[in-house]
Amino acid sequence: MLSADLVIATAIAYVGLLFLIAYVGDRRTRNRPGGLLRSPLVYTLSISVYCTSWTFYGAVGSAARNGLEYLAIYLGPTLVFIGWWFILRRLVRISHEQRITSVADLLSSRFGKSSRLAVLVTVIAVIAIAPYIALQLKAVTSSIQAIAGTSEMARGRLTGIDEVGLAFGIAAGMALFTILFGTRNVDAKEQHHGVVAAIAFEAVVKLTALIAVGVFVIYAGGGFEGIFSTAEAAGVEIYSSDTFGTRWVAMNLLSFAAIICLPRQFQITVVENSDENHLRTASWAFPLYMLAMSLFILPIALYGLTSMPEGANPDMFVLTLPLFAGHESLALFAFIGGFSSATSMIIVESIALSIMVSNHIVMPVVLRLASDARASDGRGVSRLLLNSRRFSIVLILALGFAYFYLTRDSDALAPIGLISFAGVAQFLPAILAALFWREASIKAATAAVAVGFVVWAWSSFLPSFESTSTTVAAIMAKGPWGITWLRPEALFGLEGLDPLVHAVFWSLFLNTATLAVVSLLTSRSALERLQTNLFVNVFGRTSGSGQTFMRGSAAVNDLFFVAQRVLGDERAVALFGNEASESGQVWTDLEPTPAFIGRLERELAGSIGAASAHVMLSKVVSGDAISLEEVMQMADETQQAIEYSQQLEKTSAELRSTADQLEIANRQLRDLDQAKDEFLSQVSHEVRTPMTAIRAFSEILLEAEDLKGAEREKFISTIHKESLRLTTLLDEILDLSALERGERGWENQPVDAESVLEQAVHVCHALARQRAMTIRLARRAKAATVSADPDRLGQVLINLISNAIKYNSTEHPQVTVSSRIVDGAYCVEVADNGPGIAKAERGKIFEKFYRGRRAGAALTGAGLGLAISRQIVARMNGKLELIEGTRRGACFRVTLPLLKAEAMAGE
Amino acid sequence: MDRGKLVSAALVFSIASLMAIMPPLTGLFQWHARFFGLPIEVIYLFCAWAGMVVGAFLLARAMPRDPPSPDAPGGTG
Repeated sequence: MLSADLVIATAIAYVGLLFLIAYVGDRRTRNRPGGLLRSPLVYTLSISVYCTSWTFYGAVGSAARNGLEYLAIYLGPTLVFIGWWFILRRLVRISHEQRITSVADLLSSRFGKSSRLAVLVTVIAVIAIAPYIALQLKAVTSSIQAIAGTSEMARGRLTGIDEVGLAFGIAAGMALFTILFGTRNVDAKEQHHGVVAAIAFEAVVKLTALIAVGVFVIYAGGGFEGIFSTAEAAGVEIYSSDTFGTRWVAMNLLSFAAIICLPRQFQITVVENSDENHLRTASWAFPLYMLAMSLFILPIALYGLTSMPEGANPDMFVLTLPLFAGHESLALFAFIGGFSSATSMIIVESIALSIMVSNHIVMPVVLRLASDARASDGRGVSRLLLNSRRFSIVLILALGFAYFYLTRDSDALAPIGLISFAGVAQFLPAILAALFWREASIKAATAAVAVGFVVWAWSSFLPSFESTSTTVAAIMAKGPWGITWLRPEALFGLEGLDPLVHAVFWSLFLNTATLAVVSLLTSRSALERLQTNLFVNVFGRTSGSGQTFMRGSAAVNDLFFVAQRVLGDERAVALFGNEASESGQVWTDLEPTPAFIGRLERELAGSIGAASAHVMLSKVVSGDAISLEEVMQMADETQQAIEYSQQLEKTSAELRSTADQLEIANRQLRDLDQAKDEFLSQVSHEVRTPMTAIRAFSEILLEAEDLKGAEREKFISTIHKESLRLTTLLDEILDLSALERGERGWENQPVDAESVLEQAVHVCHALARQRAMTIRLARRAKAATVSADPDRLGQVLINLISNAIKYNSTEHPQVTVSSRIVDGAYCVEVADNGPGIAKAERGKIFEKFYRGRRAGAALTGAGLGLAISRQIVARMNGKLELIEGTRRGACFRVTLPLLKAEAMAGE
Repeated sequence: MDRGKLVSAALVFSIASLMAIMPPLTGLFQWHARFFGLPIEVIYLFCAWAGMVVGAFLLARAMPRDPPSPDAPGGTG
């Protein structure tokens, strides 16, 4: 006969088995990494810690009361897992990189390693989970009582112990068990392989137990057909008329949030994950597990409703149905299944919460109280951590028990669980923002979580005490101080909604709105921006996170001291030894690089959370520690200095180039000034010679009165000749200066260059005859139209030909004039067979007043002819140059571009 | 399929799964009729669920592998 004594003894034996599995599991993973215990299968099974006694007992109760609604609790997580690529994958990668240990650590780390946010999240999590723990206590208590209630005999030693006493005993036993289980040592990554192994084992137990009961029910009820028909005949509503309403949506949303935000789910799915690829398997295997768990819930509920006596608790159908049918061993198995689901939840939840409490509340307080981390007594941080965790576990179970005690009159399991779900769902907006929204700031996240929590506490948590507290009942009915729009289940006058939907709507709506608005109104600190990049862009980064906020000059001994305290001797030695061998330094002379300090901070963060690790290291290297803000400021200043110096450099380069240009201009000016002086002196010289002659002759004429007529005439003609020469000179100077300054009106027009040349040759024939020489006309272009001033062009050609005649001193002087068309240009060459121009003079002959030293030539010109000619040709876009002739003597060439149409025709 | 297509497929699959279990689509199957003794909406929900499992199984095999974390902790971390 099944009795309370027997089931309690079985439960204790079962716990012993779990302990053994955990112990063996720990040893095996330590000795041999990998293997079954680190397989995707065990990982997936351990995630099924999601299915607690709420699932095992409560889902049947929920199905009996609300039909298909219970499925929403499993469909939300299914969505999260089949969409693992978008959320879970990021969470796991970020947590591995940043050594995240909990939801609180995640949010704190993302939002600038804020300890305030971590404390807030931890406190909310502990409060929100209390109903959930209470649910497990209630389920186990009810299950034991269900067995004990079958007969007076079955009560055994439980006689005289009421529900509260039993629940207290269970809570105390669970606390002891969890402490033994989960706080034997502190793992740097907060991974508990032994516990995970035990949880995976429990997953198998609860699944087989539930399926066993399901198979029994199907068999006893005559198959699905029989069960549904009987239920329909008995008047049970088997069709869901209003299942898919707002409540369905709200429950899906809550379970979606819970699988991410529940501390134990985060612990198992994210923190205990040893290989990112395990998530691939879990993405389909975990939904499959939940599908298998849900498969028989509805038949069990319907069969229970039709076969059990009136008033039987539907939450206990899984246990009472086999018991009622006399299948005691099946009932015992079902009890173990339910017990299994409760223990696994309580163990993992309290481990996860205790990590949060000790890392984010106890450790920071201790660190703040101890003026120097090194001065704390010799027991080490490790011991302190373990003790704070043990204390946290006791606290968490005590809170769960307190909630159980205060709400002991409410009967259904599922609503209690939903209160917890709605509580932890307040983290979801902040978590999603942490992963996807760069602009989300610490102030916004803190405000959003706080607002969501307050609204949840008011509209969901508080109403659960309605049955035990008259004050709460009064507030529920009339609102606080009679303010009706603050009634917990009709906030702001929103009435007529299901209380759950009401609470979920207001809490998540105000939470998200606060997050969005405050983020838009506030700015992020430098550290937040750094962390944002690490989180939002987790798969986009290629280089290491390498964020170090300390200077690398901390003494290696101090750092080692801290590492030893937190990580333990073995790991600290390994870490420092590794660094020493990598950098090739002796251990004791190790100069900690910023990268190494960064790595150490991450390792510490794995044990005591990001915020605490940051504080701790800052403390140890306090002499050298500089805040990130300072680093950023320094970087800013450096950047400014760089920009400023770049500007200076640019300006000085500009100045240099201006100075260079000025120098060039100055040199040109000096040259011009010198040229002007030379020009003036040349002009004076040129003017002076004829003037002297004129003066001399006119003085003779004035003074000598006895001059003969012929002599007088000769003198006067000399004066006349010199005056003419003077006039010509001045005309030429004026002409040249006008040409150079571009003052003279100039109009190029289409001109037949050949006829101009003909004319010039004709003019020069007289001079040539005078000198008894010939002008030989060589090859000629047929016709060439150029753009030119015909008179000026004639002037140039006459000047060239006459020069060739004048300065030719050979016996048989000859001038050769030729013209042709080359490459679209008209060329006239004037060559003589005279002495030619010495090489040294070639560069100068176009200068003003340069006459050249032509032997025997009479100096008849002022030396401006070629200079003027060159200016004229330039104004006609042509070129006058001295070229190497084919024979001895000088050869000048005038090149003028042909008019376009002419050029085309000429080619 | 290339990476972009696969990721898009995963997103479409997730959104389609969400819509499948939400009103108004779920309302299509509330017929007040039974098939193999089970109400139609029960069969629909479990079939949709099984479809999600199968789809997730296929996607899990097809999705690209991520490059290892640039500064992942050593070993199996």
